[in-house]
Amino acid sequence: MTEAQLINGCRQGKRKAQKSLYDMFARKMMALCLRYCGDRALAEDMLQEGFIRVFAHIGEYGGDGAFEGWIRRIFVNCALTGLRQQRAMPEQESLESVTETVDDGSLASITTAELLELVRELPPGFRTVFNMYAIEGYSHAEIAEMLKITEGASRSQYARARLALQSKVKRLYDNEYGKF
Amino acid sequence: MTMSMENFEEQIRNRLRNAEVEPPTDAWQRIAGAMPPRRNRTALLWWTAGGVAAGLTWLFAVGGAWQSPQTESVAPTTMAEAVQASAPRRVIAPVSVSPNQPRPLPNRMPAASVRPVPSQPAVCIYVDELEELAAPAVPLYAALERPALKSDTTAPARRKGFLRGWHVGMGAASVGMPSMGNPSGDGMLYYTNFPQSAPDFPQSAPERTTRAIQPIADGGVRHSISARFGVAFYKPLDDRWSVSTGIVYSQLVSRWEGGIASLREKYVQRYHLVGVPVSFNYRLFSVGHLNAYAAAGVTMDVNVAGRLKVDYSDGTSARRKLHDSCLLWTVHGRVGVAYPLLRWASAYGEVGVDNYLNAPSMATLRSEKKTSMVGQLGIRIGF
Repeated sequence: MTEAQLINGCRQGKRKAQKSLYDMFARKMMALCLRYCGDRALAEDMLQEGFIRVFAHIGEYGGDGAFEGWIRRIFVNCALTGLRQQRAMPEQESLESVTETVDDGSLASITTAELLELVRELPPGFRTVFNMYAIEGYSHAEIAEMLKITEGASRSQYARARLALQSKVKRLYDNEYGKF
Repeated sequence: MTMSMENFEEQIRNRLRNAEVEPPTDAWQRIAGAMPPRRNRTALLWWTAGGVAAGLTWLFAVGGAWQSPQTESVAPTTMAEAVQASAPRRVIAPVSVSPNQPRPLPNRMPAASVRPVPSQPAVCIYVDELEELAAPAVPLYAALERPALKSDTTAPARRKGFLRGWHVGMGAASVGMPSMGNPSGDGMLYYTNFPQSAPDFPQSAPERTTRAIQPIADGGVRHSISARFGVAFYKPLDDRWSVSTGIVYSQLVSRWEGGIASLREKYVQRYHLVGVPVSFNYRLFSVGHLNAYAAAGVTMDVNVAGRLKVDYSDGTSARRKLHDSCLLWTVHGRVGVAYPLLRWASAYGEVGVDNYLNAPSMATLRSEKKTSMVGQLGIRIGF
């Protein structure tokens, strides 16, 4: 069944099509939810809420742009709503000054699961902005509007998040791989 | 070699954007269970549902009227003077009189059925008084509910309200397959011969007795479930399973003919049942908004009213109330389709089989057949 047929089936409320769509995107969306949430249980709730929103609003998908991108936007909005309820939105947080840079080998050495864990370990504010800017591709202006912060705050949060992540990558690499 | 910030971001993006994590195994069940029932958004279906409800209402209104008592009935004109002259007046069972044989005496009085009309004293006939009269050329009958006489100009015929008794709201209807009782005519009791048996009147039903009964009418007793009507409620248990209950009204209708060869009586026996079904439903598959399902469960019915109506060939008729207090149990299986009309209501149609675990003491469809095919249309309300 093609993606268009799946979308059509979901628009008609066919449970089989909904299940197929879920199977197609559930793993990616679970990873997305985990990137935004430190807590796995909260991420699972976001996954459920996100798919319910997808099926409820799938009639609004006009076909312009990739369907996966449309689903991602719904899940990001869903995650932001969840974080807002958890009062885990970006704020100014103290962070030790990190100036280290990482070399090519350190990032390549760690697994994706480890990288995901490092992102999840970031403070909520940094994590949110980092995910939105570096991975989802939102601009700082869009992030500022969505998170109700200034564009400057978004840039600052992102810079700090990036440095923090670099520091964590370097630390993990030094601890686990650099000794060999 | 150190990595530039752009390269670092790009590597992170490439690896995390397409990262996959296995969701919990019950995630889909939770999602499917949390999604609201699909809604019908077309006005056409609203009108269709309204039309079905209106049609059912109309059908039941007509059905109610059809079986509502009609007090205007006619006795043989040749008996008018004799009846009016007889005193004191008392209601008795019908008596069939044949000029060529002794007239039997009623051995029992259906006391519960004696209902004189206050404004118009009931006609009373003593059998012995009738015997004192010149033997009529036709059988004599006295109705329990006093029939108005054609010649009685002082007592204008009354007709009670055309629409009487129970009517309808919304719900379900079904038509059961008719059944032919005792078609072989073995004379065990589905046929009555009034002149020979001196029966109570009205004959209470095609009872299973062993008294001398001779089949005189072809075709036997026709049994049917004429209608089923009610409201059902259902509660989803998970994505596929749901439990439903409700309240259902149904009729057990039996028709047969009796009497002597030249004068046939037509009998219509109706039992009004109110039942509570409990079913477990399993969704088989979905096509568009339609959900196909299978269901199985138990129904408990109670007889709330009953009536036997006899129409005589000479134009008179009589009625008698019937009641059977036993609980009637049915095991049923169904397959059907449901279509969501609202978030909390769906229309459904189903067919299936009822397996009767017991039957009322009177002969009905339930006592004739162990199983019956049933079709049903209706509206379910979810909660």
